Amino acid sequence: MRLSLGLRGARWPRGRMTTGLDAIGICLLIGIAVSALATGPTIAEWVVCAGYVLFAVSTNIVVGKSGILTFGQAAYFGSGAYAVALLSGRHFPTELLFVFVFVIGCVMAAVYGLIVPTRSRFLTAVLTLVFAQFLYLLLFDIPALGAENGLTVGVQEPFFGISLESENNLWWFSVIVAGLSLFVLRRMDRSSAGLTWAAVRDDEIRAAALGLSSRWARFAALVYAGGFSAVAGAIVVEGQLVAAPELLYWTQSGAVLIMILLGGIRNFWGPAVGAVAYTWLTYEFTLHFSSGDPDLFIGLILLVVVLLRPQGLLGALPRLPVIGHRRGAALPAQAEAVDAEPAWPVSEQEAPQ
Amino acid sequence: MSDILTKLAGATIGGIASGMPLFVIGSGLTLIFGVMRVLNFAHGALFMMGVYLCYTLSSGKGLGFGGFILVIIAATAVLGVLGGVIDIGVLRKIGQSGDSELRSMFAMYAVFLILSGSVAYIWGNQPLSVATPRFLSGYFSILSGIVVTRQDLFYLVSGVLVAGGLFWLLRRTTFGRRVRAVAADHEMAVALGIRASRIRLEVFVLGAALAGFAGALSANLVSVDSSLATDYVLQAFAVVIAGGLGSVEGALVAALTLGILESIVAIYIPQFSPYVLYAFIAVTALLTPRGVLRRGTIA
Repeated sequence: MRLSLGLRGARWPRGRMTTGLDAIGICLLIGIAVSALATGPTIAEWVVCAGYVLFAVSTNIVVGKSGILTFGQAAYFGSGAYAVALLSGRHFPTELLFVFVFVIGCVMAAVYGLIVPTRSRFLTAVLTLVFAQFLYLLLFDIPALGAENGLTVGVQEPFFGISLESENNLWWFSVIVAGLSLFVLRRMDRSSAGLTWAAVRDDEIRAAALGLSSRWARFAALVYAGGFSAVAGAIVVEGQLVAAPELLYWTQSGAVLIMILLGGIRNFWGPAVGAVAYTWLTYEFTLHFSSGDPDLFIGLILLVVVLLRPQGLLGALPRLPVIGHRRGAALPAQAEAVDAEPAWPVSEQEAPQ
Repeated sequence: MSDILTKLAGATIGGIASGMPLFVIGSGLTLIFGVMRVLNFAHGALFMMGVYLCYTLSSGKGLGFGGFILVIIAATAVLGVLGGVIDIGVLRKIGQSGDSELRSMFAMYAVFLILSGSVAYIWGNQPLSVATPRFLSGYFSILSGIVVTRQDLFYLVSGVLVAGGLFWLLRRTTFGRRVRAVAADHEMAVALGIRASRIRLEVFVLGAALAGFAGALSANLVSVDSSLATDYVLQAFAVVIAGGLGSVEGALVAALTLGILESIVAIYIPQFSPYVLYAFIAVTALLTPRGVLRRGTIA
């Protein structure tokens, strides 16, 4: 009984067939633009960037949409990266590889979601951090995973007969994987699942009175985010060609939170913009100031955003129209009611003054 | 006394000693959380600044007793001033609205990035080291062969001084009563005429100064580079979570327990020593979410 109620926050997003096509459209446009303008090694940077976009958007369904403060998302991200690195060069079909990575991420997040209490925000943050650090330390003790040097990634098997050796093909492959994932995430965001997460985040007691199980709604958000974060790690490692333990270090979980905050925690596309901005800034920085530490620069920008523009870079822009939703249709009306919410989750302890 | 017991006693004394700097870091963090409801991610970075200051001030030489005490006082004072700047420049701007917990946490994450990123520009990328002060090298043995280093004794004395000072400050002075009032109920304290923003500033200065003090204490035992900020913020979180968010007594018990555990594991099962910290956090957070003394405010 409890499970079936909880699945209201977990079931496959219904609604119109066309919901989420904006994600596909945006990915196609960016895919064409990059393959037309970028060349050689910069394409690999864009592959990494696409991975971080998916990482930030999927993490935001936990942080922004469900209001769970997770500091251990790097665990799933890094595990996806290591899964790809381990299976490359072993004739594992590429079509199945990313499904397999998604399942790994989901299973890990499910096991962990059953252990960790998600009611207390700070305990959740610290316990997710601890879990990711445990895996990080384990990497150093397992010689098969390359210890501190990590694993290099070989070329994947052809994807539906198309070789992934050329950089342009690899770019289109990662656009397809990221685009499909963003499509699913966008449908979740606009569906009953997304509304359930937002309801549980905003008022747990009211959500319970409506028959929603906050425990299982949060659990579902954690599981989906874990799966897609693992896929994101897989994309990133295809671009940078080495899976290193740093992908699981806790500052990586901090980096994805920075991306989310830079772009805007309350906007579906905010984290995507934040991820592009973050990877571009660190890339430019290491290009021009090779001796310095980009953290100083990133920290200054983050501080300015938190102090002056807490809703994030995208927060105040007009929302993108959702393709396929007519005005007055049931779903967008509900969705807009959810959108009229504060830029940050209001804490349970202190009422706003 | 048998050999095993001697070894165990030595490990316990070493653990208590190494737990003292952890308590000094953790007590500042837990005070800041208890009074301001700010999860201070920059606390490890403040500790790191204390270590770097100690490096600069001691200028490569092994200091004598007076010189080292002066360096510690200077590092503590500079970090206190830095804490004041952070509170006035960042935390006061965020204020006390309903969403301030998350915003201030991310603001402190930004401060952590700024401090640990600026180290490369000031002191360079290479790891540095601080020479051990002359009066701290050497050891003596008590009770038929238990070895106590002078460093351990120094940690024990300074830890006891800090703990005693903090308890006196919080339990016996007007300042302490005000701090406890703001921690217990911010609005009621304001209604009673306590200047809460002043108390918040003083608490943040105190917490930052304690981090700087701990940094100067540990400077000669650590490799001085920017990874100190990421390592020690986790150690401080461990102490604060295990002790209960906001509880100084809990932080003392938790820091000493963690110190003893790490020291014993390092002797008997060294391959597990990196995991002790995380296992300690996970077990205490799952079993006693309000801290070992059950005095924390669960948040």
